[in-house]
Amino acid sequence: MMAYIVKRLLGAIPTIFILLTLTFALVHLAPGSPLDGDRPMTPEVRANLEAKYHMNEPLIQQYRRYLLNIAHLDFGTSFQYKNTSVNSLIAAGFPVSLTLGAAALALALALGIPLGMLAAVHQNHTADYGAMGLSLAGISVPNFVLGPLMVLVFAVYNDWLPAGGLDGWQSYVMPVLALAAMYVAYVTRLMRASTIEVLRSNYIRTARAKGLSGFRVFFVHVLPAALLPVVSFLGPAAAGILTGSVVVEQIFGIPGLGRFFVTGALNRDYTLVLGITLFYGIIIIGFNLLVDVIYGWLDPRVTY
Amino acid sequence: MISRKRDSLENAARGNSLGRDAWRRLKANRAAMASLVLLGLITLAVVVGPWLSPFNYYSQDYDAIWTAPSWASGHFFGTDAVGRDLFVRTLNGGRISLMVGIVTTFVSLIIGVTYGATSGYLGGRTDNLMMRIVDILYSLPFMFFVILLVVFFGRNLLLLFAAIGAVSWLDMARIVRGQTLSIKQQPYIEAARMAGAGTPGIIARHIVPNLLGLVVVYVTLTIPQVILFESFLSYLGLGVQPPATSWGALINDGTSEMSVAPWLLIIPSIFLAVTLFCFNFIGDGLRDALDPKDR
Amino acid sequence: MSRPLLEVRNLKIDFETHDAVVDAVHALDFTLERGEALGIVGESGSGKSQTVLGLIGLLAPNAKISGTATLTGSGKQGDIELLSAKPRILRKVRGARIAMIFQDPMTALNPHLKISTQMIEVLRAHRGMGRREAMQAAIDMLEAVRIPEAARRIKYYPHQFSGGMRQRVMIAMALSCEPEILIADEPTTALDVTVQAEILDLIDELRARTHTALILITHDLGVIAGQCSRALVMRRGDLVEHGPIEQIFRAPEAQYTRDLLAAIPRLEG
Repeated sequence: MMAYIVKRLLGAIPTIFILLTLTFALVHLAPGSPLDGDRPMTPEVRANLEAKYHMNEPLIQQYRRYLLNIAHLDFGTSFQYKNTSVNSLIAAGFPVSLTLGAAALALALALGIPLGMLAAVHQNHTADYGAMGLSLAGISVPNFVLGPLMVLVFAVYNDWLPAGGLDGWQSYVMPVLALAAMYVAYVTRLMRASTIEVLRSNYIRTARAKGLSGFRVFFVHVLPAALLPVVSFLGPAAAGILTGSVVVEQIFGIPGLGRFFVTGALNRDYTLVLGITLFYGIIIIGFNLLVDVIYGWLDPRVTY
Repeated sequence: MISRKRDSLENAARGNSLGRDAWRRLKANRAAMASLVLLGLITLAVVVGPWLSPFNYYSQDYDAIWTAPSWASGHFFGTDAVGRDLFVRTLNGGRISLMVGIVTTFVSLIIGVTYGATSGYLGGRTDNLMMRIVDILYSLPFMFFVILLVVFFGRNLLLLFAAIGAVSWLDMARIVRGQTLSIKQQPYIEAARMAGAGTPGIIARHIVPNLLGLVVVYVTLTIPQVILFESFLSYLGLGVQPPATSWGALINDGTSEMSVAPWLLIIPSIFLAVTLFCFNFIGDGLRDALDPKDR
Repeated sequence: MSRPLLEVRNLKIDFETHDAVVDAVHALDFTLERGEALGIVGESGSGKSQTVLGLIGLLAPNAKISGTATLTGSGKQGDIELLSAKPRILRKVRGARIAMIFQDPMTALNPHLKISTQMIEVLRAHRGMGRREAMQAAIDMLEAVRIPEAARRIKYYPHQFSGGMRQRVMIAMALSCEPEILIADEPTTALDVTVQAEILDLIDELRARTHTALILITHDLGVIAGQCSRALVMRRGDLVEHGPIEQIFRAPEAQYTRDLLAAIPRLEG
């Protein structure tokens, strides 16, 4: 088991390396300089700034510095918020985004798994068609449609929930729902498909032929096998939810990392955008690693 | 022994009935057929609609701001904060959204099929390396990458096509590669080779036709993803730039004005959601029709 | 002579698929005595597997079954009408009084559960044993099917066993509650030729101990000849021949049976 984890950890290194190199190349291939702002500046000011951001060094040295800084988890200073390090912005915004994302993922699993099971057990009956129709709707209504529409109904027309900001648990209700809806739908579809496949397998026929109770057949024999595809979906789901939180935080005015990212992107705050991309990249790679390890632990057929 | 209910026995006798059978099953799927018709109507409206209207998508009319949808004024969908006609703007936005969806899917189709088929057909170490690259790209947060790209290279439509196309070919490549691998190992390929068929003949006669169904399914499922992607960027203000518009950009405008003019939010939202819904339904229907064991 | 253990009358099975109605079995009659070995022979699609799956209520949901199948009561328990029995009653029959072994041992065991879990749950469900007692009984059963180091290997997962070993596990599991009827659906078809004979001998040996009747389903007349005293020959859902094994081999009545016999390769010309 330990060897497997080490192996996966080593496997993540090239991924992180490619992430870093790609972003570095992108920054340096881009036309213009981040210092080309609205205001013209004197050559001296420009030279000073270039020195401050180490832009006057040879490329290879910049690359080395870049790798070293990231190895120390130092993402530099924001262009937009002067004298504020990207690290401190991440430290301020990430806990909020994490809370939002974790709640959405938990909701997606808590609703999607039972709904998918229900649809599979009643395959081609009313409950199945209902659950499938609902989940197709969930996939087709993006969070930036669902979010504003919810605000319209629950905050503008009725004063049931706060329209935005972060003030108590009520502020999380609509953002979490908007973020989770699509993933509830995905998990439902995935769970339905995998449950149907397991139900058709020979070993479930064996379990029935053994005269076990329906409860035992379902919860001991069907469920663990049917959950495996959902476990491997956790990686992409987490990445998607983090991405989605960018727009959901925007809609609901939540001071999370996603909001910093968008304002940074609109204001061409190079270091901030780059820092958040790298940070999320590393988080996602790490999370995928964790999911792989959990999968290996759950499926006895995976050899380490 | 077997009494057929429908005409499938004749079809089976006619041979090469896979496409025909699939089409028959798709026709029996009412939700998919309704989606197909609805999508056809939306496409038609988006293409010809703007020409039929007396308004255009960029002219501002300060005498008619925030007009509610009405038949009498000629603004069927109402107007926005600067008096632009929402009907024309929605259809124009639809042109961009659908065009981005189709063109970009085509880009990802070309890359994905070429990459996947090459990897699967060559096999061995090359296949390993090529798939490892796909795995790595998969684990990158590509939405953030596209935004990064937009930030550094400026906002333009062509870049958007390229960027979204460049990240959405991964699924296609994986699926085509898997299918190529399994087709390659089929006994009938071996038989064709024994009978003296050359590699190009085998690819043209056996591999490509067998990939086709799968590719069609994934194309119908990729288009809504790409449309969603573009809308997402436009919603954030990083996609299509004014006065040009897309459904995502319109929804963004609508969000900021929803308390005074809710139709600005609701109408483009309906168009986007219905279009995505139709594509997803058709994609699901096609998949079931081509691979009926799941139903 | 007492009544037969199992009496099947006028058994019919239909499947309704998306495109067609398929009659899998029509009007089948047969009986099974206690301790007897009955063979059911036929080509694939002859309805032989569907017949036995129908008896224990494991047909696909789109199947329609009619007729009667009476399992004679034992002790103070009354007769059970299998085809119309409530699921709760049928569950107590399956695994306890009628057990089944399937064709493909590679997929018949649950890959996600240890052998011990899969063996113990049958004993606990039907015998009301405690965990420890069931564990010991399961190990004894594995030893009876000659799995070396049973106490250690019972903690393995199925993928750690070979095909022949997995089929032994299936046999051990099926016979662990000493059923009155063992249904073996092509139990050796998926195995190596060298392993086939061992598995058949093992089934014979174990069922002699517990006086268990056998329904052996196969497409191979040779297997029937070695194991069974009586056989049914089925073709496309019809019963074409029914009788003692000597009669079927020496004086077959149906043309189809003669064709099947002619298809067996012989050494002498």
